[in-house]
Amino acid sequence: MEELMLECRQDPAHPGTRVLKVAGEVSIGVAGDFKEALIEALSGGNEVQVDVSALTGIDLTGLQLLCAAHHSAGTAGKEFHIVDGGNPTFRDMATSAGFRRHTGCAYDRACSCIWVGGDN
Amino acid sequence: MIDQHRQAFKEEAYELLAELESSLLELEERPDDQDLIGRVFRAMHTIKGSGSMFGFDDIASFTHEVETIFDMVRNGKLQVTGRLVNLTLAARDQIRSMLDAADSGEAADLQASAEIIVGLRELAGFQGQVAAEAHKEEVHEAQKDPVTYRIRFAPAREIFVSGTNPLTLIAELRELGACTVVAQTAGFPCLEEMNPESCYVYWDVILTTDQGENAIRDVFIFVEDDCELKIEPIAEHNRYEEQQDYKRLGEILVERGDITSDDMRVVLSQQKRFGELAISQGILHEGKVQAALAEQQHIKEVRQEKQVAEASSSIRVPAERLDLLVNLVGEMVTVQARLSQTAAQRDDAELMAIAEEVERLTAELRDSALNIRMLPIGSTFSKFKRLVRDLSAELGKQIEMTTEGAETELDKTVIEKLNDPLVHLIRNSIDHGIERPEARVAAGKPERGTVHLSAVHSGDSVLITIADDGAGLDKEAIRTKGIERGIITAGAELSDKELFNLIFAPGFSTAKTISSVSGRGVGMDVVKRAIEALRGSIDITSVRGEGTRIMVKIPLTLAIIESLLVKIGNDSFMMPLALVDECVELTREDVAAAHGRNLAHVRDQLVPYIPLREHFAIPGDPPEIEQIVITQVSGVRVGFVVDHVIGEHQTVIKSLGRAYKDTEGISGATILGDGTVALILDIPQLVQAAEAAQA
Amino acid sequence: MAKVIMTADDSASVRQMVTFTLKQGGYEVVEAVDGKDALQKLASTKVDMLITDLNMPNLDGIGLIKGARALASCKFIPIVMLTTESQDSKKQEGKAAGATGWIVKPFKPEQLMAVVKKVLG
Repeated sequence: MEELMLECRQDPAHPGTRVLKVAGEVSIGVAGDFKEALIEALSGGNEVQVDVSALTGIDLTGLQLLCAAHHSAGTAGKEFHIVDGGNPTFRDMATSAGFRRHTGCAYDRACSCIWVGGDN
Repeated sequence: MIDQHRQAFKEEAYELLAELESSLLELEERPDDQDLIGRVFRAMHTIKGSGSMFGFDDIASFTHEVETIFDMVRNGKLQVTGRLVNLTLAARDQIRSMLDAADSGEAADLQASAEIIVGLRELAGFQGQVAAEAHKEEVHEAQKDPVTYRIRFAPAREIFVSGTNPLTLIAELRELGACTVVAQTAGFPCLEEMNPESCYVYWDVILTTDQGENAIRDVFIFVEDDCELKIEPIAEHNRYEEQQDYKRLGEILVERGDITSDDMRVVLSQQKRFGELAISQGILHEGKVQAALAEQQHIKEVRQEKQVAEASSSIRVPAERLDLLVNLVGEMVTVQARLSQTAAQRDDAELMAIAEEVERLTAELRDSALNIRMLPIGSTFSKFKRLVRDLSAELGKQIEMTTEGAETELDKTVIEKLNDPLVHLIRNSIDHGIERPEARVAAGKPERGTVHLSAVHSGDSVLITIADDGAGLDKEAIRTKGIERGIITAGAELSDKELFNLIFAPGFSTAKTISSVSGRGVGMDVVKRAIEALRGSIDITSVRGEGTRIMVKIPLTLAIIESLLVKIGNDSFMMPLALVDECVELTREDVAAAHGRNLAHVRDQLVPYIPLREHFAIPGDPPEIEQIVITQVSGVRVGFVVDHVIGEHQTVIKSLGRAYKDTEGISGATILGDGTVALILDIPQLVQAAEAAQA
Repeated sequence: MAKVIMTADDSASVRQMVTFTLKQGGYEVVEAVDGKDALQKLASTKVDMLITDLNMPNLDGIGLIKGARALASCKFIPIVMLTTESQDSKKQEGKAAGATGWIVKPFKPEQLMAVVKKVLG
């Protein structure tokens, strides 16, 4: 199991955009840390990009937190994206857990659901 | 290996028995010592448990009786007496002799066992038979017919603290059969309030399995008390075979109890898509609809699979074997050409007759070999239906997809390579073509747009058409953009066709904003390039306000093409015949008259040409009169200057080795009848390179 | 990296069989002879799963499960107990103490592997 690495920084090209880089494995043992990192990223800007391209594993708790973060961002009028860089581990996990879908969820009025699509 | 385990058990059992003996003797002196009683019980328990695991069933069942007694002693229901200790010691000796007997092969003394058991039972005060623990072997009677189940699995919030990972259970479900899983996220709190160690999600799963409901229950055996689990069969397979369509969305939701039929009627009284409406009226949340949609889809897929399985009294063969066969046939065609050539040269009537016969057989063999690789394009079409459904929902448009000619057959490789370009074209139609419902109504068109996909055979090609009834292309917008991008000059007079063809130019996009559906940096130029790589062509027509029609013409197979054989010096080249328009002569005077510009006058039209001898740096002088082969690629005529045109030739394409794979202007090679190699020219690429060099 | 499974059992032959089966399945195995031994080893060794017998001297299976759940490293790992059919009440007790599941003795190597796969994925 690879240790979870969280790094939050300002996107130099886009002021107000926070990029949260997640590397290693998100598991229940570190879910609390992951939650804190998401809260911090969301409080730091109007747009948050979670970069999961270097993620090597994510369990149900991690997927739940991503969904909740998206929900919270929507409520606060902020934008929330996931950049997976085609990471097959992430996609497989989201798909096998049944999170990937074809229309957004009930909170999702702006067609921004993080699980929609998948082949872009 | 089993023997090794048995041996280990025996050693352990002898040890335990020795310990048991001393414990029992001590117990006689201190009958109330709980620690001693526990030790005796554990010894019996271990002998029983381990014994049954390693096949000592007689020992296990005998020891079980003794263990039962000591369980009563342990719980204070029975006193330790001299008689009990005596009987237990006898039992201990009996177990020992049973262990000894296991190796020698002699049967243990059953009479002695029975006597001890009767004695112990009397002591415990129960009569007759103690219910023997039957070791039931669980038999999974596999059901023959697959049944589809609707499963709702809602783990308890605190499921994680029991060490359960619900995802492994979902994975286990998937192993039972075709499975569609939708995670329901609607009950999620906001991030701040979410306990990261709690489980909020629940699942709706549609599973088609022939293992029966018990197999599904077994998956959840450890969590029965820690979750809400609903399993119900939804459709007998025979039942829906008779139905044209699977249940409608509303029907499914009512069956699931997610919505009442009254609510459904309210929703249905308005003519919109049911799911959208139900969500927008707050009767349902999205996840429920999603799950119902997944059920529809799942059933469709299962049914399709079934149909495919039934329709084919066919054999599955690995694709490589087919490729090998086609390759061999290709070589056969080459050899046959040599044979015919040789026969003609020898002027031998008998040999000629044989060569003709071989030629006929080879042609038939070639056709049937290529036929094996043909697949109906229908499977690709049905994938697109899904794409249209999902994308239109995402964009808030109402679009129906109609298809025609799904049975049209194409080479397997071609179908695979056609997928991406077609996806892109369809996405374009949905995104840029079809208008939003309001705009359509305002334009006096039906609210629901149509994308029509059709495939039809035409000669040795297949014509695929994607037609939408959307807004059509905006000529002025294209012209403006073309000028902006420097693709055309401001005053250029362009025919409609030329204008529409501009959208295939690199870096051209007319959509005002880049949406998530199309315009992800992949332009129509890439589509065009992909089609051309299949030696196909793409054409576009459009009427403003009425729609756009894109026609893609693709050769039936990639393995063999009709081509024109030409020569430059001693080198032979092939040009795909489909692209060739005509051939004209080029004399030295013509060259001189053009003043160094590579332009030829053909019936009052100027045609640019590429001197291939120069292009490929082939040494030697051209003949007095050269030939220009005029090709047409996407409506543009370009000539290629060669020394001689030999004639039509049926060409079996050989790919170039890895070292030459990316050679520009060459798409492959073939072997001629006399054994020499001819290169196949990549006409579109040559044209493009020449255009690029000019610009 | 192979996952690590601890087997706690006072019966050497059961331990041997469990260890052999798990190693064949590609797991690393740590053995413990009773509950006390198991808890001591858990404090210093990180394991991905625990398989424990219920009847053991020094500290029994229920005690071990409770002790393990109190360790941060074992809070969420799957814990499977080995029971005999006569111990239905033990199943409940074990679940209440924090066990994930159970295997009924006697069991075959395949049954053991099926349960490991079920809870460990």
